[in-house]
Amino acid sequence: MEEFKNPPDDQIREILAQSITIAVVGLSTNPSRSSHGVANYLKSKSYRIIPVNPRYPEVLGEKSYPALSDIPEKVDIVDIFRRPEHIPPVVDEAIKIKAKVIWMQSGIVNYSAAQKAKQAGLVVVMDRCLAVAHCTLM
Amino acid sequence: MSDPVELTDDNFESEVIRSDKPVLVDFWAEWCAPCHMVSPVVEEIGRDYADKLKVGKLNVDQNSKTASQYGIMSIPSLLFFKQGKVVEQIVGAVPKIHLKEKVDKVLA
Repeated sequence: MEEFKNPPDDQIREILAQSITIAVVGLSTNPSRSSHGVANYLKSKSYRIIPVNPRYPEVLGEKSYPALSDIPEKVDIVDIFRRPEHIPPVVDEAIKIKAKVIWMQSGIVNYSAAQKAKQAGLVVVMDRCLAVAHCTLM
Repeated sequence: MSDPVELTDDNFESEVIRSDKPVLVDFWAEWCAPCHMVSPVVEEIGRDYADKLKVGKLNVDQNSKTASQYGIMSIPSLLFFKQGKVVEQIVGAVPKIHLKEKVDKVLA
């Protein structure tokens, strides 16, 4: 398998500058969860946040969808807060909805899913916090 | 008794890089829930090792230059500096016992 490397910072900066909509998979309503803090931060930076979590009808004042394929609008970044074993079906859906970027948060790595997404033309970031990337690069 | 020093892009050089004592820097942000879990632990370490170790906190949201310079990709990130160089690093919220082990190693 080809060695995985996250995109260079310049490319991440460009992604963050050009993206509008971020689907947050596994977004919790609980403010003590990382997903909530990260999504709240990104929302405060004017990104359109779309929660993806079948457990809730709404998170952070935004309608929550059970799955990526239920979202009725274009998604730029799919930001994932799920354990590595749950990543493959999320990647399959991200490919299906033609998302541009798969972003697995800190501590989340799945090489085979990453390879599949890259082969489908998506940019893949693993084991990095999207909010921290925004803080430090933008 | 010593509270963590509030670190910024402006004082990082004088407070950390040119510190006589080793420094533990807690990279954090207001919106980061795990950061709020580790923060009291870092403060306790600062009190326990007040004579041997300086402890500081750097808000990555307000001091992105320093956070970027040290390649911070996730928070909380705890970096240990000795004579201006990073000698140990912990990413994520950790229990006090784990942090103490690292501190003892750095100070040995």
